[in-house]
Amino acid sequence: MSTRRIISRIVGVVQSSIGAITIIFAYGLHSNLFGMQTALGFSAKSLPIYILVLVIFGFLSIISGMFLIYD
Amino acid sequence: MSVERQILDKSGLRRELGLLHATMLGIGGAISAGVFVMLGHAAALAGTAIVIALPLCGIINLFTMCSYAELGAAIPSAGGEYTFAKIAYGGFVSFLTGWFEWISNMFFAALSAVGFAYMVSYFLPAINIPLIAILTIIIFTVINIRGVKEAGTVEVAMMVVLIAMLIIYIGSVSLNIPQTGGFQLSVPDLRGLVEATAYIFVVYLGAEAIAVAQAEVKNPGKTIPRAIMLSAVFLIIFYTLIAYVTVSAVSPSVLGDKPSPLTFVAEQTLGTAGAILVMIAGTIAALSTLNTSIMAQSRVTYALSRDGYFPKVLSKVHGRFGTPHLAVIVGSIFTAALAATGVINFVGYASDFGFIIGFCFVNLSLMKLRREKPHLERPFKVPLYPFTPIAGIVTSLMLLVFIDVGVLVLGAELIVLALLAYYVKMIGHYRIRIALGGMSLGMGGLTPLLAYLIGTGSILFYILIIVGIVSIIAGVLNVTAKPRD
Repeated sequence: MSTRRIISRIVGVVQSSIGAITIIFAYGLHSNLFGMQTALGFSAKSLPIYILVLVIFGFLSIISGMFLIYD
Repeated sequence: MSVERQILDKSGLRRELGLLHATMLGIGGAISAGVFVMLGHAAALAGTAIVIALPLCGIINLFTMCSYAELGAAIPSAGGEYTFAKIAYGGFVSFLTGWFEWISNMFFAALSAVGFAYMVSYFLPAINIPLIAILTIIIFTVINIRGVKEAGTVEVAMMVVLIAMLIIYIGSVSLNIPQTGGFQLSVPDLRGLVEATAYIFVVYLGAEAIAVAQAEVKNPGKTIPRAIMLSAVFLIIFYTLIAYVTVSAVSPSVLGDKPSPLTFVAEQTLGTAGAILVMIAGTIAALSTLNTSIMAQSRVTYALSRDGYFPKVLSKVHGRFGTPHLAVIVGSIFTAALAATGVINFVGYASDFGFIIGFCFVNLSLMKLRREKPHLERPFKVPLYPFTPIAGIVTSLMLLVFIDVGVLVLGAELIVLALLAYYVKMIGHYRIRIALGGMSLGMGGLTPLLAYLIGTGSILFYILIIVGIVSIIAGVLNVTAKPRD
């Protein structure tokens, strides 16, 4: 296996994991798990935009990571 | 080699369905729980003229069924509407037809599973409805994987019992109509009649399942047209008889607010035993549409995968059972997820929208193929051409006018989604990868900036810096990737 392929796989796994954690975090924020909204000081008005940004970032990271894993 | 011949030669599916199986597939696809619950509101709209609205719907359905019969006999390949549109138009039109067919059948299957669970809850109120719906989907997924003949045999058995029960309902209710009642045809208010026709039309949807599974029909040139026409005519007679005895026994205005008018009528005229009979019939109807829809969605998935729109793995045929087992499983997973969410009602209307759009494309495909492929072997020909397909298109579009605006918006959204899926496929793997690489670079550039704005020193700062570095490396690797051969 070439060096590039090994690096691609490692980076892909890390990036996909970051994406998955981001989506889980967005879900936690949406459901206010462990009082996240209050702890992070997010107002109810601005919450949807944060969740949207996190979900988009999460999905793009997962797909990009998958491309690298299956290079 | 012609496109249609190539498609026919590629199929690895087994031709195991005879005339009885195919006809029952059509009838079973149409007689859903819908007729058990929708007749009341339709009767409230049209009065006793519901006995005119139902045959009218049947005739509208028959126009398009003639087109299905001609195309199914001429091009008996898996995929039904999608395959017809592919040969006639190709490109996005065929993909859109297949897309709607796939989504409509999955929603229809989910609706049937949930409908079945609700019927069961009538006898066992403590049950968990989504759980029962999912278990039912799993059982029918296994039946559909094991073989088309097994699925067809289950369908025949269920249909025989269901038809027998509904005949008992028709016979018993007609013998027990109260003396004060009786049938008096009301002078139909035209608007009410048209609204009732648009509303109740859905009870005929699903009979086109024969066309979707046509690659597995024996002697397709003869069997497909016969099965389609037999099921269409049977449904007209059967539904009209059910409506006739129902509005004869109880006034249409009373039926309007009943959640299950047939059960109500059976209870009024035959007592609790009658109500239980109708509930069991409704349960079987829900199961039969679930069976047919799972089969139909998997054949469309198979066809879309065969043509490269969906992953190739979905067109694999099981070596022992001769069924597209992966297509059955993947569609059933989506169906189970839909059944579990509970947002079924609204999305259920979208399946009607999809079926009606499919009707239009089938008629258009027939007309295009008649013009462009006049020498295509056609064991069955649509009578009164071109009047019949034109009438099919016009009447189908008229039904769309009466559909709820929200459903039309959802339908438009599904078209946009189809467009997106189609162009993602057309753009190709390599270009998508480059685009994602660019996005990763952009995200990687913005994240450290965000970290700086939050403030140095905190743990979040270091997390964001790491995320930024990973995104930039991933972006560079994706952008510099070499195209696949």
